[in-house]
Amino acid sequence: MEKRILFIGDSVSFIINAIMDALRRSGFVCDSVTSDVGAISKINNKSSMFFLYADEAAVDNNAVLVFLRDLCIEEDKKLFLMGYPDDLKKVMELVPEKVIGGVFERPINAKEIADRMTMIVDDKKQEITRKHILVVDDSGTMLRTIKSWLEPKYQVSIVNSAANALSFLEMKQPDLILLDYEMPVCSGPQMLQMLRSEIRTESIPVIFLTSKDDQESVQKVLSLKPQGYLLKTMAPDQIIEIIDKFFITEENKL
Amino acid sequence: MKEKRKAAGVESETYNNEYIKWRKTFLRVCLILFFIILFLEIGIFFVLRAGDLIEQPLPVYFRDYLIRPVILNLFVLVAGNLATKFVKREGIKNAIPVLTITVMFGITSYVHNVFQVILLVFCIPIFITIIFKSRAILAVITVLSEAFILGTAFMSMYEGRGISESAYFIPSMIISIIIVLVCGSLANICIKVLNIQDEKLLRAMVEAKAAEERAEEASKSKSAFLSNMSHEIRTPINAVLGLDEMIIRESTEKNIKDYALDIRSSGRALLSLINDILDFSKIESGKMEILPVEYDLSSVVNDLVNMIANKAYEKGLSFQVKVDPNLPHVLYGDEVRIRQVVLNILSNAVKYTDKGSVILNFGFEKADDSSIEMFVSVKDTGKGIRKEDLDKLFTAFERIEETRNRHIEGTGLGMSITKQLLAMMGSRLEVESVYGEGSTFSFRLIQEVRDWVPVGNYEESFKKLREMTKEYTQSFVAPEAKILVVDDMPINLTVVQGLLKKTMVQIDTAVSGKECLELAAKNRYHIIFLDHMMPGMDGIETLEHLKKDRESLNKDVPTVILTANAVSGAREQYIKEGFDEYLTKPIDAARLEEMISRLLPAELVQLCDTGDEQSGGDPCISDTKDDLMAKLAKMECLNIEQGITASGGEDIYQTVIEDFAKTASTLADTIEQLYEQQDLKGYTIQVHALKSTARLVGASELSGLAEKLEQCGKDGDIKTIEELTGTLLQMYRSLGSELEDALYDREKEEQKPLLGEAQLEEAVGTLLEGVESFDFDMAQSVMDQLENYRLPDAFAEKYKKLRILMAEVERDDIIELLNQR
Repeated sequence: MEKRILFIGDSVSFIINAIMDALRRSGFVCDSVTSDVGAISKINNKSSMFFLYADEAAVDNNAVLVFLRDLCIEEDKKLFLMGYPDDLKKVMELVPEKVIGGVFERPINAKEIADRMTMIVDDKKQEITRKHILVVDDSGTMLRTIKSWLEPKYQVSIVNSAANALSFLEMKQPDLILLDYEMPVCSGPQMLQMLRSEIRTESIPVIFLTSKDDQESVQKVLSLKPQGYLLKTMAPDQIIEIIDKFFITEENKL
Repeated sequence: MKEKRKAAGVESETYNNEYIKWRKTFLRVCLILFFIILFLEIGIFFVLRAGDLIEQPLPVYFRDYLIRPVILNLFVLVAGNLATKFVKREGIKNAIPVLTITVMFGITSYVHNVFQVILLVFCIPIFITIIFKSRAILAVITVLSEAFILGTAFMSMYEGRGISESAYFIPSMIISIIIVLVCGSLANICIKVLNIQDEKLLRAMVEAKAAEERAEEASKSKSAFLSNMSHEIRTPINAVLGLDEMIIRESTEKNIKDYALDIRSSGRALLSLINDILDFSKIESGKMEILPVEYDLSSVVNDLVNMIANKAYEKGLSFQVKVDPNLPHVLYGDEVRIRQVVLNILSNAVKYTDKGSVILNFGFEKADDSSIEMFVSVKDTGKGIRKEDLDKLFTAFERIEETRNRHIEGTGLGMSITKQLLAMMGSRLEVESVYGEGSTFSFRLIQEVRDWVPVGNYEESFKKLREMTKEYTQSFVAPEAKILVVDDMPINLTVVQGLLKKTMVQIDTAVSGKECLELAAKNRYHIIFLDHMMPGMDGIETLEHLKKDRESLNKDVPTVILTANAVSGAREQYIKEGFDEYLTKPIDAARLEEMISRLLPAELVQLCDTGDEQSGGDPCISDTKDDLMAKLAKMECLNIEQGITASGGEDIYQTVIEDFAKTASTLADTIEQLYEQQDLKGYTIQVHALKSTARLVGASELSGLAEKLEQCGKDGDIKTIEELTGTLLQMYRSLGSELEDALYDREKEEQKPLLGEAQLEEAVGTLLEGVESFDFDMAQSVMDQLENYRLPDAFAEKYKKLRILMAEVERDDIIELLNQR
């Protein structure tokens, strides 16, 4: 299936743009058209997927919904919906299930949408092969920089404190945590201890990020038995290399 | 034998000519013989008559001894001559004169019955046949002679002499026969030997011819190989260097540009090594030629200086050039080879000298009215050469003190080439050296003078030349200029297009002479570049065709020939062929530009300031990204290269700069707060973070200071912290605001549309969703989208804060802020 989606909706919307951004980053081509039957039928349709932002306006626009439904049935295309649960329910009253490719309830996560759409297109039932890394560092600049180095090879989430990290971990389980050693309030080592003490998180591999490369500090770091440590002064490619190697050894262990 | 004769071709012709000579000779001999016989007969008659010895009656005597033999001989003579004319076969033709002689002898002896004496005379024709080397003729003559002997004998016996008297003849007859046979055999042997010799000679001639042909072939193919190799090798190197030049000019990534610069210097080194090897090959196979031309001495000196000066300065050596101001400035000699020789000597001097100086000296003495003896020397304060090693100096591939000098690059061919070139020019290299102190390499060369006007003060004219060339190397654009470049190798066309991209000249290309003519028929160009070596129609032929057409659109268009064959004297040759200029490959970008800006009509050329070489940006068109980089480059506290390297790329660096700028103010405040609260631990952590981010930005001074203060924090050195925190904060804040200024673009701000209420709500909602679910990309996407709007004042404040918080990834605060309605 081709990675092309047609977005149907009125006016510029931040959320749709955000979703389009995320989809584009995953390699999709996104077009958009106004919620108008005429406009939709004029579009020389190369996409086999429609994306409808089920906001209040869309829900009331029966004409468009019916048109879309018929179009999808005729041309064997799929309709994807995004919106609040109530709105979604109203739409689904009109549109049969077989036409619906996917439903995304708000609050949404654009990245997740992109991942799911990718899965659907590639028809892979298995997990996205991209590894998910959580980076924890008190410096926003550091977080963004490391994120830019590691993406798009890896899926990177960033949090700027141990507290946020723990909240994150309640929702998701990354494949690796890059943990800054020196942080205010709750330091790296402290967080590691917390992680190790919970069943849910004890087996997530952790690599420390530190700028201290003297023997004493390194020993201290290593004594906590992380899966490794990285120096912040390392060049980007070095860091990527180490992380790559880490995942490879992990694979081989299994 | 015949086949070999045929094979020898021309040789057998001369052979035959010899036979013709002999035949003619013998025919003349026959004629003379005839007259001798005639006069002899007459003479004998008178002698006998005087002695009254004539037995027969006179008429009978006349008939038998005068009329008959003379007529017969005449007949034989005539027959012989005619036969020679009409008979075609060589073998028989050769036989005829000898036969004629033999028969004439035979007749005469038969008539006189004096065969005993005349028998010996038969041996003469027998030996004559040796000349014709024909055993067939020999056989015939022998048989004939024997026949005459027998005939005469029997005749005598028959003429009524008694048996006893007849018997008197028999021994003589037998002896005669035997003698003739013996002569015949001897002659046969002689002929055999001569034939063998002939054969050997023929074989030798055939071999010699074959060998000569082989040698010529070899020589031709060697020449072809050398010139082919030269072309084959230079073409890909041209491509490499040319494309590399394009990378250097177009790359915006510093890493890549550094790699490309390394490639350039290696490529150039490679080219010079290959040139050495090709030259050496040429010399060894005797193909190197000294081609003298008129040249300007000061330009040669300039080239040398340009090529060596930097290398010398890099090593910390002083480089001096002394030129006798009275030296005539235009000389006649092989400029290319002289330059090569001096450059080689200079390179060696620089290579083997680690400290001190290298002095190049040009002097002269008048040799005669039209020439001078030029004296060139290079004196260095280098390692020097031991007496024992002076010999090795000139041995190809051998380098002196190989172990000690291993680290110095080079093939070892240079000196050998130099020596041989000097020898070819009638000179020789002199070396004086003191081991450990230095060496002086020098040579004297006779050069014809074409213009006695002195060179003058070298320094001054050099400066003037620099001024001139400086003007020419200014970059230019000529968007209305149209040029045609013709080369059979598409890669070379790409190279030229790439080198001229920034000049905006319109470039048409063609891959053959034919295509060139087609294009030239339809379009008018301002300059045409033609490659010399092309299959089908080469550059020179193409030019001929171009010039032939008097009505051509491109009449009088300046033409430049591109050649990979850097042969001395080529310039004159090409100008003779009708070209206006020539350019050697690998094409030197600067020379190409200079040539074009010179050859184009002035109104098409717009000069502009050369942009910063390092940035590789367009000379006349500016770039917003480059604008930013340029602004950042001007900031003293930032080292952009370091920043880019640490961040991992220019694009990331820009983001880092933006982040830093956004968060500087707040984070500086935080540090200040912690300092005032005397929260040592907190302070240390913040300063530690600043150290890293400052490094990413390339603010090495700030980063260093942060590092120091971090250490103080760990050590508990409150005193130093008190002393330096103020400075740190000041540096941090000022850097932050400078960066903000660099990033802010007022103009763009005013063109943005205002954000509506509904949109704002949606934006905030989406933002919240993203942040709450830890999807920072989504949140960032919203923030980026908001950049395109002018924000309502109420929100603008919040927005500023949001930017800072987003940069710091302060999820909780963002959520709090967004929820405040």
